[in-house]
Order: sequence, then C-alpha cells, then structure tokens
Amino acid sequence: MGLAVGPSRQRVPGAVSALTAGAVHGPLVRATVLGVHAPGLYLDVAGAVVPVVTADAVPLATAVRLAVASADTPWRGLAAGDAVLVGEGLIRLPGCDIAAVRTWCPTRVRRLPSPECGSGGQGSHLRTHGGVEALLGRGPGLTPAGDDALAGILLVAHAHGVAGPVAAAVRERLGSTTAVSAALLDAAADGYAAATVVALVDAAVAGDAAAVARALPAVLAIGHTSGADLVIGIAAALRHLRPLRQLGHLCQTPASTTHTTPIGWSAA
Amino acid sequence: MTTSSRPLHGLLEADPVVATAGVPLLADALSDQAVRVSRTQWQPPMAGTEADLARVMGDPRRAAANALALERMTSATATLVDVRPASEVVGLERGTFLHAGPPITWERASGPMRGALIGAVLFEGLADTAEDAEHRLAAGEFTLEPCHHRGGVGPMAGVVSPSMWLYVLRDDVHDATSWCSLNEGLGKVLRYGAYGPEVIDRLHWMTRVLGPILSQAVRSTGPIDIRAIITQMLQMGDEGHNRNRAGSLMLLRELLPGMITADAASSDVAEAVRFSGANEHFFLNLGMPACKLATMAASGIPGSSVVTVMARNGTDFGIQVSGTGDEWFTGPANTPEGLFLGAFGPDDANPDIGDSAITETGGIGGFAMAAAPAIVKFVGGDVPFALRATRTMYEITVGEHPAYQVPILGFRGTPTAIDVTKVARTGILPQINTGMAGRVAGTGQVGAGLVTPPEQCFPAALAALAARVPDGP
Amino acid sequence: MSTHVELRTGAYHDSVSLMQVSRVVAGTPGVLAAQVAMATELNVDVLTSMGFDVPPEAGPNDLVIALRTDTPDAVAAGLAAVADALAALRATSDSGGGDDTVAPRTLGSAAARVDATLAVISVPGQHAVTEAFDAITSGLSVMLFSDNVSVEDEVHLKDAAAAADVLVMGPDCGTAHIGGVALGFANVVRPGSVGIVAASGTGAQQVMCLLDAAGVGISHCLGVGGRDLKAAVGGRSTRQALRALAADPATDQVIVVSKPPDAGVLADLEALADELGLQVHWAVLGPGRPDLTASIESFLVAQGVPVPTWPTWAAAGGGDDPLLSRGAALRGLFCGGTLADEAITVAEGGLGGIHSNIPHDPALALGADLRHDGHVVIDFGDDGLTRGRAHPMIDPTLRRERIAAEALDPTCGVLLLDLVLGHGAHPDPADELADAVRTARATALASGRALPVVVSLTGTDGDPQHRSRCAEVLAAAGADVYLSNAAATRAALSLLGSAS
Repeated sequence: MGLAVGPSRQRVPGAVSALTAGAVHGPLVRATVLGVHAPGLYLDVAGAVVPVVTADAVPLATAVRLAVASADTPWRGLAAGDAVLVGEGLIRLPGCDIAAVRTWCPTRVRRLPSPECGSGGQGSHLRTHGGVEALLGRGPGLTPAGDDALAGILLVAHAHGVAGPVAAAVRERLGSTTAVSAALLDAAADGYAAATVVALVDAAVAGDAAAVARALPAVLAIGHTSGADLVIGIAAALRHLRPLRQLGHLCQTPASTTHTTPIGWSAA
Repeated sequence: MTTSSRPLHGLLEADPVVATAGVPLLADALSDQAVRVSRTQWQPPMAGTEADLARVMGDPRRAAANALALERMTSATATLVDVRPASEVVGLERGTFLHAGPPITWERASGPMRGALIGAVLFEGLADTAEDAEHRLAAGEFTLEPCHHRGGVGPMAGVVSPSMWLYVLRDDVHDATSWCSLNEGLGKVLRYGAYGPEVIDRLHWMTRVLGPILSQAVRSTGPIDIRAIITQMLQMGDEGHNRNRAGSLMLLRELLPGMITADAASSDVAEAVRFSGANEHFFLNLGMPACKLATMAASGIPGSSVVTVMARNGTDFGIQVSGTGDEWFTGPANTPEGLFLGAFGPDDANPDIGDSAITETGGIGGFAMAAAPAIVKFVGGDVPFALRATRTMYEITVGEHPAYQVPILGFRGTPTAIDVTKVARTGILPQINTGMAGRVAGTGQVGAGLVTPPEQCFPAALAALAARVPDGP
Repeated sequence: MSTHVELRTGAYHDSVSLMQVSRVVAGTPGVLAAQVAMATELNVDVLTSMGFDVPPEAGPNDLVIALRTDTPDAVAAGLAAVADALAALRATSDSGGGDDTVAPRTLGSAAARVDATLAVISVPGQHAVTEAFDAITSGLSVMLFSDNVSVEDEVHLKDAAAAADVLVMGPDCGTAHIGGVALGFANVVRPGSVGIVAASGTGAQQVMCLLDAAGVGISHCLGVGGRDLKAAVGGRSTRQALRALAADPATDQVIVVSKPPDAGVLADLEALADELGLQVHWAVLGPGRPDLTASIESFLVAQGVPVPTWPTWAAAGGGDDPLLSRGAALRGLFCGGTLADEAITVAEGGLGGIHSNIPHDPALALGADLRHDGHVVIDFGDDGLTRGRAHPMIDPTLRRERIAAEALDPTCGVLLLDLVLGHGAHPDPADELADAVRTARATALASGRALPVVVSLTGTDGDPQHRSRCAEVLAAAGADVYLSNAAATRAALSLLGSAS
C-alpha cells in the first residue's frame, strides 16, 4: 500500500469529508500548502482545496477534521507554498502522517418543500451577475467579507431551491477570489457549510426565533468578521426572498464595519 | 413536540463529540477514529456515598435549583450602610454572646474561644475578674449562639456582645442585611482569645470613639459599595481572606473624608484614622459580611446542593447547604498547615477557627488564590500551587463569578457555589487560606496556612439532601 | 520466598488497567505472584485467597500492591516494575494540557470542556447512575456501557432523559453507531439507510455484519439496553430512538433487534412506528421464532435485495476421522450474550433442554461450577461472571480455561465458540483462540477422541482485525468458521456424536 511508514512517524487519525474524500483517498500526489493558521491548514490537492482543521476549529464542510486541539497542531513549521504528499488515505506532513480513518458527512441546509419556495418571481428579482461581481473577492482576509456574505446568500438560496442562477454566476468568477474562499463558496452553492452555519440558516429559514438566538453566537464567533459577514448575507437573502417575514431577531447582530448592506441588490 | 425542534438535539445529524468516564479502551477506540474525546479523570466517590449521590443527582429539581443558587449568590450586592451597636443591629440581649462557627458549649471550646468569651464578659461588665467570668461561663449563666444564627459573621473567635459596634451591610437586590464586628488590629486582641486590660480598654475605645466616627463617616458619605472593592482588589493581588491590603487601602480611601469631618475631637479622629490605616486586614471585616449576604441569598432553595456556610469555632467545622436550610453538618476542625511566625511551630497552633471561611463559600479567599500568588510566602507552597488551587476548585463549584475575575486566568470568574455532590464525587475538598490562632488563649496569630474542612461534613449533608428528595415522578 | 504487601492512598485506577499492570509485574523475573488492585471487597478476597495479608483498614479507594518473590532482592525489582507500569498508565490517562490545566474530575466538567454531545460511561455499576444523571442534566445523550444498574434506576434515568430530550443507550449497552462513528464494540460497516435499534449488543453486531455481507449499509445503530422492551421499562429508550430515526433524513427503514418484548410494549411501539410513518422490521429472537439470520434474510427479500450465500470457511484437513469416538454433548462457550441465546434457541429444538447460566428454563440453570454432563451453553459475558473482572471480549482467560477443560472431558461432543471482531475487541484475537482450539483438539486426539470445533465469526471485511485472516487462522487450527451464528449452531449440531 504505497509508501512504507517508518516506526518514528507519528500517526494522527483524521476524519475526511465526503466532499473531498476522493482527493485524500486518490492517487498519491504532491499537494501545495495554500495557507497555515493555528486551527487550520489549507492544501491544494490537484486542484481540490482540502482544509485540515483541529477539533476546536470551525468544522468546514470540506475539511479533514482532527481530534486534537489547536494547541497540538501537527503542522508546525509549515508555510504557504510548501509541498506535502497527499493520497492513498494519507496526508504526509513533516514528522507525522494524518491518516484518514473515517469519512464524515457534512451538514447540508434543509430544502423547503416546493410550495414554500418563495413566489417563483422572487428568484428572478435577484440581479445575479452584477451583485455577484460586486461582492466576490471584495474585502481583506483569507475569506473576503464579500465572499462570506455571498456564502450566506447561497445557503439561503439553496434552502429555497433558487440557488441555481447565483451559483452559476459565482462559479464563473471563482478565479476572482482566493482558492480557499472559492472552495467554500463552491460548497455553499450546494448547500454545504459548517454545522453551526447550517443550523443558523435552517433556523432562520424556518422562522424559529429561539433557534436563531441559540445558533447566532457560534456563527458570530467565526473568524474575525467572517461570521458577521455570513449573517449579513443570510439576512439580505431572506429579506429578498421573504419580504413579509419578521426579521427582528437577525437585525440585532453587530454589523461588520466594512460595509452595511450588500451592494448590487435591487428589486426589479 | 414542535416541528422545528430536532429530536435528541440533532445527535444523529453529526458525528458525536464525546466525554468519557471509565475504562480507557473505549476512549482510545474513539480517538483512533478521529473523534474528539474528553476523558474524565474519574475515581470512586467518598466511601458510602453512592446511594445518596444517585438519589440527589436524580432529583429533577437539582440542576435548576443550583443554577438559581449561583445566580442569586452572584447577583447579591453588598453595600456598607451603617455602623451601630449589636444591641440595635441584631437586638442582642444582655448576657447573650455570639461566636464564630457552629454551636459550641463552654466545655468543648478551645483556648482562643474561651479567652474571647472571658474578655467579652469582662467588657460587658458582667464579671469583675477573669476568674469570675470563667466561673460564670462554665456555670452556664450566659447564652452562647453562633453569629450565623443572627445573620452575621465574626473573624477568629468572632465573639460579639451587645455593646460592640458592628458594620451593617445591605443587599438591595434580595432585600437582606448582614453584619460583622469591627477589626481590632493585630497583636493581643480579643479575637485571638486575649482578655487582658489592654484588650478590654481597646474594646471600650472602639465602642466609645471608633464606632461612632465610622458610623458618621458612612452616614455622611453614603453607602460604600463593598462588592466593587472586592472586584478591584482581586485584580490587585488580594484574595479577600488572608490578603486584604489593597482592599483595606481602598476602603480607607472611601471612609477618610467622612472620618475627617466627623463630629469628634480631632485627636480621636486622628487615632481612629491611624488605627484603621495600620491594619492590613481592615477590609476583612467587610469582605466577610459581603460574602455572607451572597451566600444568604442562595440559601433555602429546595433541591439545591450548594454550600451556603462554612464556619469554625476552634473545635468543630460546620457547613450548611441551601437545600437543607439551617441544618449544620459538623466534624472536628483540622489544624491549618503552613508557615509560622517567629519561633512558633505546629504544636502552637489551634484547630481552625473563625467565620472567615465564608469568603471561600462566596467564591473568593482560597478559591481566588490564583489572583494572589504572593500569598504563598505566608501559607507555603509555590506559585504554580496557587494557580492550581483555583483551577482545581472549578471542579467542585457550580459556576464562575461574573464580577470577581482573576487576571492571570484570562479574567475568568472565580469558582463560585460549592456543590456538595461534586465534593463527594471527586473527593476534592474546598481549599481555605487562613490565619492560625495560638492554642493558648491570648497568644495571638502564630502563622498562616492552608486548611480544608473535615471530609465527613459532606457525606452527612448529602445524606440529609437525599432524605429530602421527593419520591416518584 | 518473600512477600510484600503495601497500601497506597490517593491513587485510583480502573480495574482493567490494573489487571494489565498485574500481568506485566507478574512477568518480572523473580516475581512468583503479583496483584495490583483497588481494595474492593472482592479484590481483598482474591488477595487473601492468594495467601496475602491485606491490612484491615484497606478500603475501596486504596491501591493494594501485593508481591510474592523467590528472593528478598526480587521485591525491589517487582516494585520497580509496578512503578513503571503505573507511570505508563498515568501518561496515557492524562487528558493533555500538561501543567497548565487541571484534568476534569467529573463527567460534566469533561463534557463542558469540549461541548460534548454524548457521554460514554463505563464506571462500576453503582457509580454509573450518578455519572449518567450528570450527563443527562448537562444535555448529553448517554451510552451506558456499565452493567449492574437496577431496573428502578434505569427507569428513573430514562424518564429524566425523555424530559431532557436525550437518549440513554443502556444499561449494559456495548454497541452503538452514530454518524459514522463506532461506539464501544462495533464493527466497521458500510454506510447506508438502515437504522438499527438494538436491545442487544452482539445481536446488533451479528445483524450489522450480515447486512454488510449482503451489501446493505446502516445509518445508525442505537442501543437501548437489554431490559428496555420489558414491561418494567416500557420501551422508553426505544421510543426515543424510533422518533430520532424517523426524523433522520439518512434513515429509510429500521430494524429492531431484541428478545421477545412485552406484548403491551410491542403494541405501543408498533403504534408509534405507524404514527411516525416509519418502516420497522422486528428481528425478535426467542423460542419458536426465526433466528437472526432468517430474520435478516426475510428483511432482504422484502427490500428486493438478493440474499447472499453467507460466508463460511472450512476446517483445514477436512473432517475428523470417523473412527474416532466423540462425545454426545454440545458445549457452547460464548462471549456474546445474544449469540449464546440464539445458539440455545436454535439448538433446543433438536436437542431438548440446554443447561446454561442464561437458561430458557430455570430448571436448567447451571451451578456455580458451570458444569453439566449434557448440553451446555455458557455466556461468559453475563453479569454474574463479570463482577470484578473484565468482560470476556477484553479478557478471554476464563473462556480459554474452559476450552482446555472441555478438551479433557469425554462427554464433550463439539465445541461451539463465538469470536466477535471490530472496534473495542482484542486487536489480534484469532491467534490466541486458534492456539486454544489447536491444543484442545490435540488433547482430545491424544485420548482417542475427535473434538470438532465450530466458530461463529461476527465481523466484516473492514474490521481492523481483518476477518478473512482471522477465519483462515481458525480454519487452519481445525475449526469450521461461519459468519452466521445460527448456521454455526446448526453445523455444530450436525457434528455431534450419538448419545450412546
């Protein structure tokens, strides 16, 4: 089975996401490190972005999840641009191997039953291309603020079954943003996101104020502003798709200081 | 069943995050599957407590009752509103003497307690000589009662008589009042069992001069927020039981303007100010009743296993628990272990004495040791020990104090609301940081050290709680 | 010869870990006997019977170290081995964080540190209830591995769990599967859309392995404890489990594996399943009912899935010499309770009364020595045989000793053994069992007897022990191996000699 594993190599068990299991179990390739942070490592495995996260980090939908905490990250000394071998169930870091011992299924936003999917006309009111272009890749950070808002929009759109046009517009322009953000947007377009985010979207779409209140703190805690930007995207999409809904429970979130309302949206 | 709620809180929708207690192989099998596992370092509970534990842990009222106890304990305020004689504050009757700790008889009382009682009798003019006072006390001519039974606290022997002036504190959130005696300073003092003429003279001076000046100061300045001082002093290296320097200075700062302008001879004011400023434990007599107010607010909640009193009379250590009201659970007081002053040694130390363990009961004192690492120079141990002491107390408390925070722990709130079930389950006893009294009456302080309650208090309290758990669903 | 007995306070270790320590120390040169254990009543009895004088003040929270060595010098070597072994335990039990943090001392504290969703409890029974309530009030579902929990406590726990909307899996629940994670003793099975609710651990494992062999995957396996479907408990956990599986988008149908439920409980649950619109197949094991294999076969047929030929591996060297004498009695030695029970159910039809420690008729109960000249099936995992000792799936000593004893017993006609693979089971169990089988057959042969051996092997291709390798090792030792426990039992019956 591929390379011999020497007795001195530490073996760290990891659970691979069903969305990226193919890249980890596929043939052994040289992967590039896209970015390194305490809670997360991002790898480009033959074009597929595979995040590797610790137990206390946000469980991204496409991530290989380790059971160790961020104090014990096994990727000390790695930097963006480094190469590591990935494949045949292993991610070979300097000094240790992450072994895929289990596949986990990421959570997916619930689809509303068709009659509830906002009056069909609402979907066409989304000025998709202009809006997407205005947001995609805008703002600083690994996941730009505009992208995080777009991800929120995509998830809500998925719930209503109207993600198609927005997803297409986003997928056309993924090159405008970081590879990491592009991968997260791609997953969001199919309704996949971290469990905490999916819980919030499900609750908001269902109009369950109590569940939204419970889910909000965990999402707002994501990144520096990513969480708040996600919430802005969720709220904006809901406002457009459900104009008569009471959204008071979402309006109490502290707004990101980088922008107020997403630009490029208008009712036809 | 609402449609939006997910059964079992969504347990089946994701891979589980697991906490284990028991054989390591089950936890290992989970780690091997890249599942996040938190392992309990489990050991069997205190001997003989299994059945009572299961009963109390299964009491449907327990979780909410303890949450309420914590909420009340941490929301109680404490403001110094007045200074008045005990006869007015608690209606203390002539011939009745209050003392620290659970109920005690003269026969069983230790040296410092006896000495303090003798001194109080002399102070009240109920006997002319120490021998006469002792004779009358032994004959049962006077009534002895715990301070706690009258809603207050006293440090060390904690003897309070009707003529003594008391600090009066208020918790306006729960509409409650508590009190504590005035601090006599260091050296030969009543609370360490001294009863010589200089002790009695000082007590008279405190009654005649100090009390009234303090009273005027408080009344003219307005109520002083004691809880706010505790909050600040914890961030200045004090822990509120054995180290009170910053608190004492802050208190003095609040009182000075009113003391200086009090209607009294300037020499009296000067002496009152000098006396108060010279005492590094000046604040202790405010911190204690502040904690008494907090724990009183948490008392009497049916089903709650939170400790509301820890107190010692120099012979016994007693606790009270919220769900069992005023019932005492006692055991022989341990003798503190630590560092000694001068030529004193372990043989000179009296068993644990004083109501000051109310500070630990309220989440400060030994529980806040991480905020006062300098204290290890007085009680022994090293700095990592001080940090570990606070960290360990989180394992036996219900929660964390929102206001009393420890800077070195990232401003984490102090461990607050001791849970009897957790003490029985873990065997971890509350860590108390205390001064040591000399065994022989009047010796004074012989050192400072660490002490815990006798283990047996907790199974006894647990059994009483278990007996009160209602049967059936 | 020297003896050394000492007490240590303030040090607690679980019994399984201490058994490993004792074993390691006993292997030290010069050490004749060693026992390192907490001074529980049972352990003190064991120590006393080994000839050690235990101080009268020793209590269950004290650690006893007892050594018997050939020379006085060897005591020091023995104690050094104890120190090393205990240090190794401490190193593995540290929850990390080094000097900066204090390890969590209660389950609630451990759970709070990671926002746990599930508690797995395996502390001794009388303490398990306390831990379980801690978990429930902290909002966690519970896998209660511990046994020796009373029915009253079980009901009380499950009522509290229902009020908190969490699930109690147990007591005595050793097998579960949630969200792709194997909990306790569980096999590595393919994911799919069948949910299992099991009032039996090894029964669930057998069912999951059969399904896996048929290419059918499972979504989750929720244990409910062996008594849940009895009248006293009323199906409390089963109700919770059915509701959760009905709401789970990944689950399409449900199989409930159990011994015969109380009639009233069954009716309630069938009504609930109807109300939830949930397809439930009842795999109920009992006299006069289909065995688990037959039950799964009818499930597969109903789903339109072809029933496979269940995997078997024939004993090397063909059958035994027909001229050799052989005994007339079935001797079933099991680690899995449901597997033992199924064997009794399948066998008693043809053989009549089967003596057992889990008898179908109280008159057929075995005595304390667990011996009878006729047909015997023993469940070595039963409560009565696991008080103060590890479960046979962790420590196979007791069964191994009985295999050796059966080899010397001319009344023994066939040995029927189970071997359960998967997470939690011994990482390499086949070699040890194969050795025992090989030795037993040789012992019998030396007395002119044939001793056929049949093994029911519950496992999948994905299990860490590699099922096919295990089967081949056992077959090479002379055992016929079957995935289906029912088929294994029938095969054993066919190998029995005549009664006279």
